[in-house]
Amino acid sequence: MKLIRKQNILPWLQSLGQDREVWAPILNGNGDLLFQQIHEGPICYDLKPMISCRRILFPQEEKLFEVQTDGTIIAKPDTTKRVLFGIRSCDAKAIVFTDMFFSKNFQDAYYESRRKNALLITLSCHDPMPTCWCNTLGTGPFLDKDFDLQLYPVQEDAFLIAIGSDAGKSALEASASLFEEMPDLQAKARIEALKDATLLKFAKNIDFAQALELAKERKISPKVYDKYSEECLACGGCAFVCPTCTCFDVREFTETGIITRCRQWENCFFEGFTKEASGHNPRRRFADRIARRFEHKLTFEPKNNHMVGCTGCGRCTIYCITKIGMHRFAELATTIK
Amino acid sequence: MQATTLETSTNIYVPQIAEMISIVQCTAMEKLFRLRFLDGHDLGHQPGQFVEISLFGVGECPISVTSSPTERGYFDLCIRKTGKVTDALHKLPVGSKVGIRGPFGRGFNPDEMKGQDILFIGGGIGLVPMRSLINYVIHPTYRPNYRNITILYGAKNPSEFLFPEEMEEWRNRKDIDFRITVDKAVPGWQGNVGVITTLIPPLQLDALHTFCVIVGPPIMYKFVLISLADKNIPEDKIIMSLERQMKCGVGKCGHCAIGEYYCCIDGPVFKYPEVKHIKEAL
Repeated sequence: MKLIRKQNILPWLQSLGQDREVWAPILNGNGDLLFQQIHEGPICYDLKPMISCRRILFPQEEKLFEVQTDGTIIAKPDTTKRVLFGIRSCDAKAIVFTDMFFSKNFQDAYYESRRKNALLITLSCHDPMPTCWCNTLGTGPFLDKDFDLQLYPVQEDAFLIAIGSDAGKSALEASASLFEEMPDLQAKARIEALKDATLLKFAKNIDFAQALELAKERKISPKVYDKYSEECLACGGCAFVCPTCTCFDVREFTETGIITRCRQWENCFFEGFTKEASGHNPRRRFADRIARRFEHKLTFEPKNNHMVGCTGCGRCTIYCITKIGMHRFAELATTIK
Repeated sequence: MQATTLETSTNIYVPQIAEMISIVQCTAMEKLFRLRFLDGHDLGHQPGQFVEISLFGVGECPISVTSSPTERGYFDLCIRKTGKVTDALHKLPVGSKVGIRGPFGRGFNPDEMKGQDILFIGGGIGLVPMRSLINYVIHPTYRPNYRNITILYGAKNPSEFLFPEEMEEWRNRKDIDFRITVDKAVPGWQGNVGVITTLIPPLQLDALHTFCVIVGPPIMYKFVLISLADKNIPEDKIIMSLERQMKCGVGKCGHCAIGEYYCCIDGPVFKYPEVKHIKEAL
């Protein structure tokens, strides 16, 4: 199995970057860890980025098309080739979810184009946050598939690398001199040991499995959503940091005669989300909108698509002003009858 | 405006260009727009489906197709002036070009109604999507496939009835039982007065062989469903078209979700048992 020293990662990524953009978790000037291009700063290996690479495959704002002054419509999906490095397991599973979502019934050309041009290099987790629950969902901390390459931080200064696709294999072959070899048996033992140690680190104070089961069986008391609505400020931050949220709004504007229609991330917690032109609003009550969010992810997606719409990344709790999110939901769901 | 687009042939978000070939003022609030694609292709819709109509520079909104698929070479949209896009559409003259995406969604299924009675119950502009099915099943080619056809149509007042000439035609046809009512009478009105549910009790219905198609404002469903239950109509023969903010039309934007469904993909036409258990549906 291939092994790469930490000091060789940047040269490797730079060589991959000769014909494509390379994005990795990098601290910005405000101290937020976000996916940025590798020339913007040192790569952070230790923490999960604030927003998953959803913002690269499905940007916060994206042009759908423009109408030129002569009436010609131009729609150009982004064909930029990218390497997305340092994706956590939960976020890689979120990409599996969005792959399904954006191709179901109708293919979304914009997502498809960005996705098929992206090489996914994941980083298995060895230090879950207190809000992580991928271990319950089977979406982490390590992946068996759904990556091009997966790195395992088996020692302080080096990563073992699993190959998940031909594209991943080529990405190694191009810089062969930067990699060392570890005998497979030894490598496998190191990975298993890391995995076992990691699994022991997950918080066990909330019974997510039970909450998920209750949600799938539609046995969540309406009082759960009433209580949650008392604690939630409806800021919508959870939907922005969620790696599986896909809802968008569509707007257009005109500049120097050129009309641009674009889409932007939207949020089902907002009252206007379901409001119709007639004034009719099927989810006027805030608690109903909260129910929508959790039922969509935990009840309807498992039923319709055999996937849970949550990957246990824990961001909706960490970045929540009142620290509720999926954790508080699970807590309420398993205690309020 | 050109019909040709670059890299857009399979792109679900890019509209095709259609021209308004006639515009009729139906009421103070509604206009009937007849549209034809510049490249001449038929819309190819099922009754009950909808399109997304774009006025570039203003925006896009979902509108149900009101013409029957039996009418070829054009399609009709009856649009109420009620928001930014529809206000702007109402200001357009004949010959204007607009963008069209669709047809989208699950429409009515006229085939499953074959050999049965059909009871249409339309309130206000609920008649608009329903009309595509009415004019399909009463078309001379298809009328023999169906037994009794009854149309109940209610409006707030007589000035809000949408298609007076067509109503006259329906009234005169011997193979259609057409009944109307208004919520409030005005001087000179000699017809029924009362909400649409007042038209249901006098009907003689063959409960087990009648499909009921209901489209109207949200409040109407609740009361009509009670009246139909009184007539022992089986729930799986009650068909309705729901209205939601169907922004993208292709099941991606999320706004039109009704429980486990997306109105724009799984609907807008639903059978009552499909949505009965969903609190927010009706």
